[in-house]
Formats: sequence, structure tokens, C-alpha cells
Amino acid sequence: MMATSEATVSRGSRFWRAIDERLGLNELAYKVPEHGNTLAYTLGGITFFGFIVLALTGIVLTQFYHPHPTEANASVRAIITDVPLGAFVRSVHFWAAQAVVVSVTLHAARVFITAAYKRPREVNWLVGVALLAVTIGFFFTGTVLKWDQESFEALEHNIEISTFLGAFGTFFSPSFAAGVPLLTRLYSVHVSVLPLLLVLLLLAHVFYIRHFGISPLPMKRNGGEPEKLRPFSTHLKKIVGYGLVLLAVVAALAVLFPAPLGPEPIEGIEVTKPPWPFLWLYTIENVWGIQWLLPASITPFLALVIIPFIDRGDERDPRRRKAIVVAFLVGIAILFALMIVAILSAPQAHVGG
Amino acid sequence: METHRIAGLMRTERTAMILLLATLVGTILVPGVHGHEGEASELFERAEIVLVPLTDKSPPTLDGTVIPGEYGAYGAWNDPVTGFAAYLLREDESVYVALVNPVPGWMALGFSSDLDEGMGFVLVGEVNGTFQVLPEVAQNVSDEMAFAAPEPSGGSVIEAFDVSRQGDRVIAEIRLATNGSLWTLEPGELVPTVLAFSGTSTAIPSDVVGSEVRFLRSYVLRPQDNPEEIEQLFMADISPIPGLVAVGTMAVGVVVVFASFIRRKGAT
Repeated sequence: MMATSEATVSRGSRFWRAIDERLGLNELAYKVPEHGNTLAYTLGGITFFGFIVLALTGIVLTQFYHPHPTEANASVRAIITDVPLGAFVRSVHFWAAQAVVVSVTLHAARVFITAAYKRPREVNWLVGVALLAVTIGFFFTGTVLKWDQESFEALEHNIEISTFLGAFGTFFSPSFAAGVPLLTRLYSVHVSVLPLLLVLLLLAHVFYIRHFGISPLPMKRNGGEPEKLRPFSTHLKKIVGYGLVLLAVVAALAVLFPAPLGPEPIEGIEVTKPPWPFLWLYTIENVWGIQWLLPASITPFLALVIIPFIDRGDERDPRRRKAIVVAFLVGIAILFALMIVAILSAPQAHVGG
Repeated sequence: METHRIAGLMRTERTAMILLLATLVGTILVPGVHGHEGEASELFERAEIVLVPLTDKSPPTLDGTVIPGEYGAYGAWNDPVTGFAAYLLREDESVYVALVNPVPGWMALGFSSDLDEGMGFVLVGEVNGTFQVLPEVAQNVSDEMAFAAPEPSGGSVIEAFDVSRQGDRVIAEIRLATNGSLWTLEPGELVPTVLAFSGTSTAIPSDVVGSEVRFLRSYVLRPQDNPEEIEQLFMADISPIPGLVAVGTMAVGVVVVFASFIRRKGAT
């Protein structure tokens, strides 16, 4: 019996050696600190897993979606009613998008609280901020594509804001390509421009994580003993594990609460509120007017960009970086408060008003 | 020494929590200071929508009788509890309204172009034994609002009316101006609307206390609007669940991420 078992192990071992010799999988066994396997430090990987789910479900949806204003809403409706598992795939895509925005934001919050943006990782922080912007871009363009009243009003805001950008806003105006609807061009942005940017930025992000290593804990462990190291493949397994949990939650939500879709939009009226990531802007628009949308949208990103340049000391412990941590939390509290106000407020008209 | 350090940290955390709560509450209050939100607007936030379609034939006859088809299919609103009904129809610069109370009692219809300025009403009730239709205003819109006479200089929005009693039923047909001293009904916009009615008193009331009050929103259709499409649009209920789930998860996640590192034991 023993001899058979050893022979099996030996065969298995030989098999993996043969695979590794050709695929170089052993390279994934490089060491990373143990804390990298905690949930807080795998949020970036979970976001990446979410993007894979979005890409796969998105590829299915593109087979049936018609990116033209006269057909878009009907084609989404057809995905729900006529395509086998279409409603489920669309709902998984929808909920995965919500999950990715949540996880990427939490990832950014973790990077901030642990001061992982400090020297020498400033550039990777900036790449991360760009990835956050791309994620929001995906969310916005995806919202427009379903082409119901919410989508239409989102696009109307897009066009209105582009006028404040002057020449830089030309791309977002319907006149940029006469004869090609803006919806069609936003679809192209959603399925080609943003994915390309995402891949390039992700490559840079992963390269810098590999180059500088997973950022250290902000404080030393009790007793100051050195932290254990684990193979990166363990980290990868953790990410896949958490990612599968995320997929299960997303699938459950997709079944329980299918992705919403309103009827064809009506031009010239404004009766909806924006999706939740933009709700805080809705309050600003209600109180100060649509012209404040652009500066308000840019401000949080500018704040994120300058963080590594104003918090330059060696200190990483959040308990000893009180000023910037409180400033960051106040910023988040303001965003949540603006969201709450938007949820409680009645829909108002802004565009052309 | 360690005890002092921990006590200091707790004080700092407490101060930070107070600051955050103050920020949260303060930011929520800021829009209120600007007067955009208040109790009145909340009454209409998820209120049922009544369409005011454009007539495609001759306007209704103001004779105190509502005959089938007179007001079209889309501008009707019925109260399932009391049986009270309202019909609305627009022609050019006028809105035709029929109010039907199944029991003897006064009726009121109000529109508001700006809730901060109150709401304009037309009241149907008895004055000296005769049914009249009178303009009134309510400064603070609520289910206990009081009526007051409008500014005399404003001019009336009531262009014509007829009120009849058919058994217990009271039927009022009124032609109102879309633009006047009490309101401006802009096509393509949702207008806060109130229907109030009594089942016990026919006399013109001074307030709505003790009566039935319904908060609605009226959508005055534009010439290019298809009533069926508009009705579908407003009936499509976009679920708030995705937003609530996502915002809730993010709020909890932020607190957990921050708390896990701020409360983490360890030396620097």
C-alpha cells in the first residue's frame, strides 16, 4: 500500500514539475508577508475578481445589445425576456458593478489608512486613483447603456457638463460625430476604451505591487517579532476564495433583486435621481446648480491625488496621523451626508431649467 | 504611563467621533438652510402621479355632470377608500377639473409651483346654502393646513364652474387657468397637488383638520407626450434596494477598515 501511495505522489509530483517547467508556475511561490492574506489587504484582488466577472458577463451581453437609441431599451428588454439566462447574466453584471465600486472604494480606504501611498509607492497610489476614475467611468457609461429614463437623464447631464469643458468637452457632445449617436459612442467607450485603460493601468498597478512588495502594516506587531512570510500562491488562493464568496453574494442578489430597467426614455423631462455612486452630486446640483457638478466631481480625485504630497512623513500609524485621517473621515462623512440628503429629497429638474 | 497613553487615545477617538457626527449632521442641515427640503416636499416625494393630458377633442361641458369619456382615459384619479374621484384635462391655457364626492361634503384641489410659497387652492363648498367655488391659499402644506384668502390683487384662476348634487353625490366641474396668482402649471413638470374632501360638512372650511387629505403629484402633459408612455414611465418603479445595499455595505466597510487599523494593538 505504502509503495503504491509513494508511487502516486511521485507521479503527481512529476506531473506538476512537468507543468511548472513549461508554465513557470513556481514563480508564483515568491514570499509575501502574512498580513497580505487578511481581508483588508485582499480588497484589491477581490476588485480584480469582480472585474473578471464583469468582463465575462459583459461579453455575453454585448452579443445581444443594440447600441442605438431606437433599439437599445428594447434590446435590453429582449435580453431579459428572450435570451436564455439573459436576465440572470444581466443582473449578475449589474450587481458585480455595484460590488466593484464598493470594493475599490474600500481598497482605497485601506490604502489610505495604512499610508501605503507613502514613499516609494506614490506613483502606484496615483495609478490607483486613475483606476478608481476608470471604474466610475465604467459605472456611468453602463448606466447610460440600458437607455431608460435614468440613463437618458444621465446622458443629458453628461452633455450639459461637457459644455462647461469648452473644447475639451467636444468628445462628449452629440456634435462630435454627426450621424453617430452619443449612446453608440459611449458604448464604444464602455467596451473598448475603458477596458484598454483598465488593462494598462492594472498592469502598471500589479507591476508596482510586485516591485515594491505588499505595503507593510502601519504598526509593528506586539513584541516586535518579525512577520511570517507566505507564498504568493497562498495569497492568490485567498483572493480567489474571497472572490468566489463575492460571486455567490452577487448571484444571490441577482436572483433576489434583478437589475432594474425602466421603459423607453421621454425627452425633455427630468424625474429620476442618479445611481447611488452619483447621489452625493445630486444634492450639490439641487442646492448650488448644475454648473457645480464638474468642479464637485473633480474635487475628490484632486484631494486623493495630492494626499501623498502633503502627508510625506515616515509615520504610517493612523493613530499618529490624526490630522489627515480626521480630514479624510470628514470628507467621507460629507459624501455620505450628501447621499442621505439626496435619498430623502424629491426629484428636481436641472438640465435646461 | 501606558494607562495615560490609552486614555489619551480614547479621548482622541471620542473627539474624532463627535467631529464626524457633527460633519454628518451639519452637511445634512445645509440644504435645509437653503430651503430646498422640508416637511412639505417630503409629503410629495413618493406621492402618486396624476396625469393632466391634453384634450384631443372638444373640452368638457361645465354642467355639473361627468359623462363617460368626457375627460378621457388618462386624467382620472380615484380614491379606493372613499370613492372620491378627480378628473383633469388641459386645453391650451386652461385645465378642466371635475371633482366627485360620493357623500355630501366640501372638496378642495390645490397646486403648488413652489412649496416654500405655500399652495393655491380652489374650494368647493356651501356658502349661505349655495355651492360656491372659491380661491384660497395655504401657507404651510400639511394634513392640518389652514386656508386663507389670497391676495386680492392677484386675480382669480377660476374661469368658470358648475356644481351639482345628484343624490348624495356632489359634483363640481371647474375651468382653471394654468397660469395665475395661485400657481403656474408648467407642462413637462411634476406639480405637488393636494386633494382634500369631507364626508361630514358641506360648508366651506377654514382648514383641513378632520377631513380626508391626499398628497399627489400632477404631470401636465406636453403636446409631444404620449400619455400611455408617460404613464408607463411613472409606473416603472426603479427599486432603491441596489443603492441601499451598496451604500450600506460601503458605510459598514469603511467603518470596519478604519476601526480595524485604529484599534489594532501594536507599537509603532
